[in-house]
Amino acid sequence: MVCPVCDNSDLRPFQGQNGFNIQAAFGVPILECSDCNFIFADFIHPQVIDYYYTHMCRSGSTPEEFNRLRQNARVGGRSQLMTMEPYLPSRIGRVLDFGGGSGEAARLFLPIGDEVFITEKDPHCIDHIMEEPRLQIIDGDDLMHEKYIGFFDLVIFSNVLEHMTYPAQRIQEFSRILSEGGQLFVEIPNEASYLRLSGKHCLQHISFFSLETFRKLIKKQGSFEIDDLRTCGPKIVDMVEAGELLHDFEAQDTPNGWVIRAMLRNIRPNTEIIQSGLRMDEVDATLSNLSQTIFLMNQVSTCQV
Amino acid sequence: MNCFACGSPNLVSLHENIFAGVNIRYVAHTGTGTQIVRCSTCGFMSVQFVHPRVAARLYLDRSNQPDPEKDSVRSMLHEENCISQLTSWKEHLPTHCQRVLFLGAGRTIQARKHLSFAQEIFTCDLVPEINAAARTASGVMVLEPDGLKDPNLEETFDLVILSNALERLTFPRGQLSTCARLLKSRGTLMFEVPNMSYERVREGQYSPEELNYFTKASLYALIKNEGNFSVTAFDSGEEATILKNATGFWGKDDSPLATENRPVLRMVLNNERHQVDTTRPDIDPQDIGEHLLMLSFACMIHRLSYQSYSLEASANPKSLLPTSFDGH
Repeated sequence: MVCPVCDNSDLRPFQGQNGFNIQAAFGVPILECSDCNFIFADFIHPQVIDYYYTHMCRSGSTPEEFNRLRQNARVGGRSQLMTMEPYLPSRIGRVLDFGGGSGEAARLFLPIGDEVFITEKDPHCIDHIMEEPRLQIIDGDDLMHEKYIGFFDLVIFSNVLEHMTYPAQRIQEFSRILSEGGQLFVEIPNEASYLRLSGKHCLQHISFFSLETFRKLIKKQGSFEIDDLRTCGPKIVDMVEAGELLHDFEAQDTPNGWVIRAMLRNIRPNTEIIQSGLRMDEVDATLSNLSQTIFLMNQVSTCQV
Repeated sequence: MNCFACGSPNLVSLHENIFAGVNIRYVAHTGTGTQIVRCSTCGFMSVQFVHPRVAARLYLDRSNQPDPEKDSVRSMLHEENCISQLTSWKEHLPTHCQRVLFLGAGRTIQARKHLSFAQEIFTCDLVPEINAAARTASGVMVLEPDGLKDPNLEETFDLVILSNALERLTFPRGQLSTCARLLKSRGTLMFEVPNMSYERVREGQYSPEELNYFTKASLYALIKNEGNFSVTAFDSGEEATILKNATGFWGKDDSPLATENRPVLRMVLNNERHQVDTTRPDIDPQDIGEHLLMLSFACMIHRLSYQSYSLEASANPKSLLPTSFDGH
């Protein structure tokens, strides 16, 4: 692997407060770039990520838990809209909520957008989205089609990037489908700091950003101008003290807050499709790292049986 | 992915592992944690993939304290086994043997005693401690496993003995090719491996250090696929079961001291030097994607198994268990 933010190949195992170094859902080592300090999970095969989200993620969630998630998404969506409002025109053409869950946030754009689209992989959420017929569901893979080049005027990319590999390519894909001057709203957790302080991370997250590494990522990708970049929500120190995930949807500007929000403008649209994946010179080290991780985990579990 | 022995693509999970939604069955090799596959063409069985650097760790991570009583018995049995091998191979030993290489796991220390007919004895053991001990003795030149790549050694050996090593090395075809490169033309390769039937492997009657499981048929398939050797002699025999844990490194070494035996296969090969490309990559580039997928999947499965054991990082210093909370 090389650092997905700065391409540096000098990576070290991430050492947290309790020697933590394995991603909690996918079981791969967590690495840290020695140059930009970006923290991220080692290689996870795309089919494994798909398998996880198709079969395992939320497989045991109850309707009550889904209701709670939808409620939080609705309140969170309103808070995000407040952050976006100073930068939005009074009327938006086409809006896309990428990985939009049950569509709670996307619904908020129905009054101000000409058309509102949504992508989502979780089959439970698709049922919820279909409760609102004005939301247009798109298969995320279809966005590679030429007809979507420059198609959208606003893309909401909320709490998704941290679940994805190859973040620079993901940002690039939005430059391709946004119109020139189109806007990209990003929300991600400010998780690097939390991880360092607590040794914990959200179960499914595989990229752990800070304000600095996110800024570096946007600069490296090169298409977007940053109109706004801030942290908001609850203070990380309060979360560390509480030992759990807190919400503060009212807090729009919190120094070292849990939530990173960015309003980006697509001033240099790039329509190139960049293939993501390991380079040949990364393969041997990746095979070795994964093989070793399995060996070590196997030793520990064998000791416990 | 193709069979490491015959090259056939017909590999199946030995333990019928399944991945069907949340219903997952994943029986793994006790040493490496990856699944065992079986070739339905030649019957060869092996761990699906283990990186050579990780295989080397099997001999580095001594998880139990040395047991002098068992070590002493093991040493005696290693010697008996060397005698038995050479008796079996006696009529096939080269008449003039300038240089011999003895490659083994835990028993190369015996080489000087039994190979005195050779003028130069090289040894290479998979166990670093054995190599270190052998260096203190005179009359042998000790190579580390990486030392076998030295181009100055190519075509210099009259005899190479792989003494219960082939089952412990990743990429057995590549190991035979290495021997072909080291041996002179018409040089002799002798080796012994455990005779592992489907049932024996399935029941876990292997050591965590053993990665490849041969039968007579799969050995012949491997030799044919590698291409440099012809078979001079084939024999079967026995070795003490305790020697499957050749190093005695594994904490769960509950093998009885009593000398229960297991079957082995012995072969003598002639290096025909068909000039088959001995630099073929061990990992076929076409298989890389599948190896990455399998390893990535195994990481997730092992992580899940942690959750079912409910380990706590703080309670077990060896644990790699992270803590997490349910976010988005």
